[in-house]
Amino acid sequence: MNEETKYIDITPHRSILTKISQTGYSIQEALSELIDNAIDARISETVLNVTVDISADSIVVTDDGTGMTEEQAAKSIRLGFSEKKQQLGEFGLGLKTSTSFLGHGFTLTTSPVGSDEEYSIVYDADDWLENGDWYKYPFVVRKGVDVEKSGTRVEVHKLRVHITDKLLASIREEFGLRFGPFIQNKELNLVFNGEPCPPFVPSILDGNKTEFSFEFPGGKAWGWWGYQLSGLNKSYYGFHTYRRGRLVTTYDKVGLTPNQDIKQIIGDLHVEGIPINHDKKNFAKTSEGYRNLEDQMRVYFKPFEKKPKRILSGYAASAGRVRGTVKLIRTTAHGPDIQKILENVKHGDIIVTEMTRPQYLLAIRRSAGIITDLGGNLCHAAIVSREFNIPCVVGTQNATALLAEGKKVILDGNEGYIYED
Amino acid sequence: MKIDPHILKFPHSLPNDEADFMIYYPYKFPKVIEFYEQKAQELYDKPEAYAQFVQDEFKELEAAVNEVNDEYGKGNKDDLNFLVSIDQKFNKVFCFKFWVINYVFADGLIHEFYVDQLKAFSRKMVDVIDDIEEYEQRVIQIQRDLLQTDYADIYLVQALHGVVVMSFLENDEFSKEIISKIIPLIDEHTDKNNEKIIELWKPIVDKILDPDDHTYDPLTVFPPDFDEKYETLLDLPPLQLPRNQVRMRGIPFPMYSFLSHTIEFREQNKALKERHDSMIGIIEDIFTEARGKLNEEEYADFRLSYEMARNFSMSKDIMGNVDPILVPVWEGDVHRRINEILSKDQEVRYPHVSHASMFGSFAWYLPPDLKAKVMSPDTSPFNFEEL
Repeated sequence: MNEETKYIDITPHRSILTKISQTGYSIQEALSELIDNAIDARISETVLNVTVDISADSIVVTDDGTGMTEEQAAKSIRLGFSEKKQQLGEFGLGLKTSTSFLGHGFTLTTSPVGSDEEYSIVYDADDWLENGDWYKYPFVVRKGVDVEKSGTRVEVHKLRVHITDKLLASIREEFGLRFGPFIQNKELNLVFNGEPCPPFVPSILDGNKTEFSFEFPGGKAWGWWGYQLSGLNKSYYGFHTYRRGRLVTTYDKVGLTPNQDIKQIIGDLHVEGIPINHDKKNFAKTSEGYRNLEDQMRVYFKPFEKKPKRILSGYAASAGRVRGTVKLIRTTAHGPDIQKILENVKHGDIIVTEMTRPQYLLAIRRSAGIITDLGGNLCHAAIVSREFNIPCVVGTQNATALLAEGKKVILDGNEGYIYED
Repeated sequence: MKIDPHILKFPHSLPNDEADFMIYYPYKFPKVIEFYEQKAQELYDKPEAYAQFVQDEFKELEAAVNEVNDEYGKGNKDDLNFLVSIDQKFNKVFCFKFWVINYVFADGLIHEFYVDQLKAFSRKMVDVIDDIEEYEQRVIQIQRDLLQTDYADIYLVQALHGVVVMSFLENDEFSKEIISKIIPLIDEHTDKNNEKIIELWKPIVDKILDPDDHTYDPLTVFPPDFDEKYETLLDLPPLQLPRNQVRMRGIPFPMYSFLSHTIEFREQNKALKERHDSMIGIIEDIFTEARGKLNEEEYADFRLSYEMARNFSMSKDIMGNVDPILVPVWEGDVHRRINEILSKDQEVRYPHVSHASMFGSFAWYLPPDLKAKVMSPDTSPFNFEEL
């Protein structure tokens, strides 16, 4: 039997650069990739300024970090190239995949620290597919720029994505969540469409945060946890996980029971010793270290997963969940009596009544939620609570009989349940 | 849209019918059943025609309520026969021109049908994802937005007006210093500050109520840059509603109250305005997305379900505009006088305080001739001329 080794051409097809956009990103994730790169290039002991400007025609992300050297800039468009080690951007794909997802082309301009040079690369997908050459890519070097300034600017043009006002609000929220720890630690000043991006701050019941730390075979974990009332979205509980101080996952359910109910555990979990996936979105879950972490978390948090007792149900008229003190308003009360009762409703109380009436309006505005015996989708309580964005359960039949004045309850306007607090 | 014929029939019960009119009206005014079923059949899938029907009915309601009110003003208020006759007229107007729209349509099976349709379509709007809880919550969010709609009712419009008033007072030379003193007092949320707060408000309220002072014209007449959508909804400048109340009640208290609550709820009002402003875009986005996810027939049904559900919500608001007469006159004065006369020589047990007082309470104590009149069916349809 004869054997011969031949050498074949495996130069990738030009379309690979356009195909990498098909990565299943969300717009928020693609933009986060660009900010991730900026954060990787931050200058130590200095606040990093990042601006993100989104218009109908372009997306521009600018930072005042270390910038790229000529070699780094030249290789930035090469697939799989990354000099970053021990940082989140280890795989050399983020810039290409995110920009290709967002638009048909981009311009990268960068100037390294202490240099009077600036490097620029322009990529246009249509032009590349027609004329691209893997071995001859235009790379512009400009000399005589301000030595004191460094940083990188990425402008994505010919956008593939349509960004609505609603999405802009959602992106700002996501940034506040994802980069919140950096913003809170004053490591990052993130300006989104001209306005500073506020960090997301979780609301912990009674402000009780419990610190914890433990070691497990292969690594160690530490952080804090507390209870929050589950919000409109049930999935928004769990841990924000960090590796080397960087956010890896948000609302991670590691070690928590699925379908955790009304009082949900939320917190920060810092983990060292477990590798992350190439997309930087998760820990390597198949690793032994991760399994050990999961086991330890399960043992630690099992006793704290409390499900409050459900005591009443009705029609979920207005979504949201709140806890508060029952204030009974009986419709049989009149005149000065009803005035006194209504004035007794303080901010954060939960009104319990047979049926609300127009004169309850101010009390309703002060209340955290409404529970009624009677009514349906278009009863006064349902309409007003939706208008004023407070949770409401109507048609419970016997709330006024079962819920005593002063009782602490959790009102779940998403599902139509009342729980004992 | 296909609809089961039984949905268009007169319902047997209504969830919000707290005065229990369903127990009395179909027996007292049997023609209301025919009237409802005919309109239901005619309008159930015609949102624009239904909206017009509501407007027309409201006009008749307003005219009829005013007519009965005028008649009451001229009559002998110590005569039980006259009082019962006025009550029966109010009942007939209320039954045909208010109850049908505000309760039978808005809380009945047709509305329930469209809400169910909206909920079902909301599921089709959300891509199935692995996380079931996340999926369910996205569905709830869409359902919530669709039920909320982009319509601002009278309560919300007052909150939106609060934003305009607050912004003006904070920037106006005359009021801004006063406001800076009032805010901390109101934020303490204690009755002890009331006297001081009223004292501080007084120069502002005096100017607002003085027809010759034009300092607060931007709040009492439409300012040039006032957002038209609020203008068309309530058809009143920001301070007009409390000014009307001051006029009606003859005391300045409603103005003090409105201004204090504008301060108390200033942050919530701002948040409500932001939310309301975004609702138009949110609803538009939902339907833009729906175009891509639903076929033509489904999209049309989805749109129809939304328009009809929105109509039912809006109609509740519109019909409530006659409350300033119905509540103090019919529910208040007429029934109080009937109760006083009947209570002279007997104990009237459980006197209701609602429009339904006659059927739910007083009928038991009326003299036989009036009792027979009240408890006998009125088989004639509603006719404005024959009220």
